[in-house]
Amino acid sequence: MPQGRLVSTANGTTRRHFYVGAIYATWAVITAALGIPALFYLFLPPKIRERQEWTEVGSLSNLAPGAPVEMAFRQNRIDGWKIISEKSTAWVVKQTDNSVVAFGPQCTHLGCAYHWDDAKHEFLCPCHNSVFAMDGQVISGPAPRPLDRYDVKVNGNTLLVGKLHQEQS
Amino acid sequence: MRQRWNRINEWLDHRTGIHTAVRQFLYEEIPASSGWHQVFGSVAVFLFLTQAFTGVLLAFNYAPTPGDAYNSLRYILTELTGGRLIRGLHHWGASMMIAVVVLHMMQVFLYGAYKKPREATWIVGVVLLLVTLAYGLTGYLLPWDNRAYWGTVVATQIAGQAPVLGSYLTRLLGGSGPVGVVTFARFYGLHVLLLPPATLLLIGLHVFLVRKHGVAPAPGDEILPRKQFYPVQVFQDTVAIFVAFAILFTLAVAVRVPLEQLADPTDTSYVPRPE
Repeated sequence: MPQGRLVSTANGTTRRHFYVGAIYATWAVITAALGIPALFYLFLPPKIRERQEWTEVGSLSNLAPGAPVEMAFRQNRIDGWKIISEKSTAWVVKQTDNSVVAFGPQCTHLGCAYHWDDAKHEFLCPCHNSVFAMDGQVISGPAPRPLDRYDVKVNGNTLLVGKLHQEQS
Repeated sequence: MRQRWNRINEWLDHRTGIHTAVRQFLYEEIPASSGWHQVFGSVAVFLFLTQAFTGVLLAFNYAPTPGDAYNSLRYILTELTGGRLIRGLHHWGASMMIAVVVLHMMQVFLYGAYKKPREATWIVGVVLLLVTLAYGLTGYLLPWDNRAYWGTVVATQIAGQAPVLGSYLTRLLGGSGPVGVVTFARFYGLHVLLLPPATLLLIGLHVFLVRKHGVAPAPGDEILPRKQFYPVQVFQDTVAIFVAFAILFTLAVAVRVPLEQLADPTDTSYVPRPE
């Protein structure tokens, strides 16, 4: 009789272990099947159709070498399911060799709008005093990288800008 | 490591009583005849939770206005990784939930589990069925394609034909004019703000009543020794949930959920048909 009880207990324990293990394993599978696609859905960037769109910014005839000018233009931007036409600006610098650089209008620290300080001959961000040289490199302050640059193309005397790129320091 | 884990568990239990509560829930005694036929309630709750989860995910990228709803849903389907799967789970989960709730009610009816003293449990269950159907009605409009639009036009017109209450129902569902922004806002509000907390409250009340009166035994089973809910019945519930989930997942992957043309109230050629 005690032996029978022992066998019964041993079987019972084994079966209980099977039930408990199966419950945990099944819920792990369900959680993974729901959780992994959810993570992809939330964290992977949308499959946006990559295409280079050139936007006309303005004439280069009024630009003098070494004197940055802020130029405003309208460009299309994909925002989720919408294509938005919005006003944008670029700090355009004509180099001494007549090539042109266009910087994005936001400081690379926390996104404030910076401006050109004519007296000091440098770009200054008023929020946290990041200072950039005319070539966009960080001179001082908390900015982690140089100013972002637009792809640029000159068509005759007209400046066109494309995508904005981050510059690594 | 294990000792630290045990200490955390003891700390938590001492302050919240969570383990005692879970233990009481799991080791509740149920009739000896309990088994596979009683899994549908758990499957229904699981499907509701899946609907809530996928619904929240959809809401992260869905714009609830007639002007943007269609395009944002198309964005979910075509631009976002896993978007089609999430929408498929939500779409097919809605239909499955109605089917499972009906199966649950059939089981309760056939086993006579609605009889005294369990009438209140049955009534709450019927209200839960109506709430589940209300999810279907209000969610149907949200894709804002032709099918959603014209289906809702017919549904609101049917509601308007109800004796005495018809005109009030029409007004409640967004006025007497054509289906538009007001109807859309009300359906969305009902779908995501009112119905989910109502469902949670009703499920809580339903489970409380089931626990209060106990699971109904099969006829002649009252004298048999009772058994514990955990682990055998929990295992059976889990297997049923897994089967339901496997069917749902397969449907979501294999059967493309339609998204028709953008809703066009002037389209006289569209013939809405019940699915």
